[in-house]
Amino acid sequence: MKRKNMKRKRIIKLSFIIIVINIFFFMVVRGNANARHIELLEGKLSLTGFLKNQTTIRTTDHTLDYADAGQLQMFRNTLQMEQDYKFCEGFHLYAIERMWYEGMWDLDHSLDQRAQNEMKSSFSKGLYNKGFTKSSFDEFMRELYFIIDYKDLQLRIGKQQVVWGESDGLRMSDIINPLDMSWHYIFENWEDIRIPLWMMNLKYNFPFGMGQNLRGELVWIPGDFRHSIFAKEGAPWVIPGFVVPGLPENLFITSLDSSKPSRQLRNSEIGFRLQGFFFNNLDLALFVFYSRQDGPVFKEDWLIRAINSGFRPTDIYDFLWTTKIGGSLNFYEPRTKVVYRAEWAFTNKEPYNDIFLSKLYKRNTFAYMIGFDRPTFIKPLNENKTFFLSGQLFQKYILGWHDSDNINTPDQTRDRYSLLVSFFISTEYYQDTIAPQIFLFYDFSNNGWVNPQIKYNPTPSWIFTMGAHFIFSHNNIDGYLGPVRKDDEVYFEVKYQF
Amino acid sequence: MLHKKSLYILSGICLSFFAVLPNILWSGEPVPGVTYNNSNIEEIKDYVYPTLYQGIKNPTMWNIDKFEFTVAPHVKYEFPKEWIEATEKHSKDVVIDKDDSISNWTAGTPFPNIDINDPQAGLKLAWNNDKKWVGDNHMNYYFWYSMDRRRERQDHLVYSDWNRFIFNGRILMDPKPHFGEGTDDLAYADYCYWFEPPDIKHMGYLLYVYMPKKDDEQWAYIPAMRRVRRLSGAQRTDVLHGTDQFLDDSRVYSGHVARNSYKLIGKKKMCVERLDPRQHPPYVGIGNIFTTGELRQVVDVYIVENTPKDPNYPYSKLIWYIDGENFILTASETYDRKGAQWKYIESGYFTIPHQVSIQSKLNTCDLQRLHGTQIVMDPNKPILENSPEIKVDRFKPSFLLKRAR
Repeated sequence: MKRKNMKRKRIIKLSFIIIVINIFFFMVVRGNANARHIELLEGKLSLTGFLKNQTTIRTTDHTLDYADAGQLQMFRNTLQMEQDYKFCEGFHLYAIERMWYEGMWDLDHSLDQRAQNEMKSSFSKGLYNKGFTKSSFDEFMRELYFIIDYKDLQLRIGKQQVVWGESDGLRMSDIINPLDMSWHYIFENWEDIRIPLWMMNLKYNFPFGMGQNLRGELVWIPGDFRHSIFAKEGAPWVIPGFVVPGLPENLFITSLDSSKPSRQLRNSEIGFRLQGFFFNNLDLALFVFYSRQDGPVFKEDWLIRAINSGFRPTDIYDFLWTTKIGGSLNFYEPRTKVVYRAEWAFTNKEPYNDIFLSKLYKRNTFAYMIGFDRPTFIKPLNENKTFFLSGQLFQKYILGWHDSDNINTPDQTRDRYSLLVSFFISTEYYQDTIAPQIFLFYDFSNNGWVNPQIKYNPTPSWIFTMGAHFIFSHNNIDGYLGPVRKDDEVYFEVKYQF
Repeated sequence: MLHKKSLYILSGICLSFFAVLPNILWSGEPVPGVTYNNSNIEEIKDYVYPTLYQGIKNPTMWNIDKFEFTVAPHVKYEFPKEWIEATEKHSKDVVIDKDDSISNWTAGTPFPNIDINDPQAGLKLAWNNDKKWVGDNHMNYYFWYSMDRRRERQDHLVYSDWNRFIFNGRILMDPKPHFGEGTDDLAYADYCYWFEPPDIKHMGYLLYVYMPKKDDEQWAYIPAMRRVRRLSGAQRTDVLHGTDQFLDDSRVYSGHVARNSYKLIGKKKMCVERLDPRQHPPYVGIGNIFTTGELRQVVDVYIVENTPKDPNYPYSKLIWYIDGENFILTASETYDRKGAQWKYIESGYFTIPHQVSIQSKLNTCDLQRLHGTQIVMDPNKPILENSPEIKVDRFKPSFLLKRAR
């Protein structure tokens, strides 16, 4: 009890210090909103960017005792720069560079220090390997691509993100880029945690008429396969299931890289999407994407092989090919003033392990999402601005299910279907300078997440954000949130953009 | 023969008469070339929009040191001949439906001849404004200043382009008068791309405004999400990105005509802002909730009282001032649901080739919160009108992704 009180006091004290620092910034931020992006070379080169600090404090002890409640969970400082260079009409080069430094290990030496070698800064891998390596450049040069427009065609070639679908925060059509879940799990804006890939993205507008706006899109990723990234042992957001006492440290994390397919053309991933308006403004898209799964599965009988080989990393995982066929739609219904959206995907031979992680199954799956968006006035709470209400329901079925297979589903329910719901509400006050919001997520395998947040934007250059992630689950295995159920936090963010 | 004394007296009387003649002839009328501010605005009070008069009379109320305008010689606005021909050909077919919408409009001014005794005169003027001639397409760039009078500061600066494409009622560019390709029910489309501020840079917005009886459609490319999101039509009365404007307030009023009742109050000469910002840029002062230093011409103006039919509409009443020559809504005084004046919205226009009226600025003053939004055309950027460079592809949702980053 005494220890608990001390921890509570530590949380409150640290939060108070950070709030005071933020208030100090509020007070000194003066002046008029004249921030403009920088233009050079007679307007051909446009420069913008931001400098950001994210500070989070744990409110619970870490599952694996890496840190206590009240300790820092993040002190990340990011400098991101963006350039857009226009060679001529219809020919641009666009780039985003990102540098970051995670300071929590330097600020608090009582934290588990093991992960900092590779997770301390964007140059960690280079510094660790003694030099500015290819992987450092890859981390630094976040996006870099040419944009070429020619009549009804547009080609984007280079390192980039491509986003498909209608869902918010769900991976159904938004599967082209894997996610980096190592530094803040899925609790960041996905624009910041998608891993850009070297690819070609070709768009074409069919000249069929204004009413249909029929367009096609081709995505080709010629061999640049990346898997989803997870935190290393010692880092706050580690998946507990990856930590097995008695086995080499980070075995299950470093093995991901070892099992990665080689960078060859025959390992290309390819996708196609067709979209247009039908039936009086129903915006309908159909897609197909042939790719490897971003997340690994254990090889059949991997344990026996691994024991025999002394846990050779390449004996553990596989990234298997699947074909995903699906679509999305949205339409506006004028009587209810609601935008309805939906998405669905059939995955051919989606791989699963059994609960003992010894067998490998391939099953067809079907998933769908239905959602709505509606701005609604709630006058007693906000006279001038609507509340944006957005809800989603997501279900996934594993077809060809047999109970005897003991399939290990991602949500660990060992049930053929999963069911999730989410709800988001936001509004703005005082000329949109104050923006409160709340996000609710519930997985019917009994875990969930609540994220209240408030953003203060006194000038276009400065943004101050405060919020919390409350995560609940009955164990640290089940569902998407079970592994992080003890990583609740309060967070503060200061961002200067130019 | 007149006495010398009598001659002197007669000369004195004549001289005096000619000295006061200008005052007699122009008594109360704005004088071209004269700048009016709080020292002499009283002379032309009847020619000035009431709220504007109050502001000029008490400039500190709006935090403006020199709140003034200059009267320019009146240049009568003439529609292009193609518009006149279309009006003559099609206006006789236009009818007002029971729900106050119109049918059989093809092109031109729907109701060119306004009888001030007509009980539907106000409604007809509203439709004339809705179908005003602004070119078959146009594009220009705007600064959006958001000013706080109380804190004497500028809150926001937004910079965007603004593109419009007319689908029905075309008179210059083929195909005309209808664009076709499945757009028979589409009146026009607006496309806007934001360059500033940094948090909405690369955001694109597309609006489809349909002919009467159908809700608008909207889409936005949200840079943080990296995808296009469809928006609800319920957002027409939502304040736009930190400004004092609803979507319905753009161009003074761009809501659905048939959703209001109208009554023509009168017609009189008033000082209407007709300003080419390339020659005479308006002054935007930090913390000022209105621009100042414009040029105005004395023009016949119709005054219309607009009452929204929806009891939940944010405004209970609007007083409109419609330019009698080009039927453009130049100013609006709006009232909240309790009947108190809420906003003063005024627009300036100038004319470019093909007699297209381009909006040079739009001022929205929230008189209750002493806050203002000034949307001012960038005079240093080119204006395109009736241009083959403004292709229809720009007004498709796919274009939002094309320009996306």
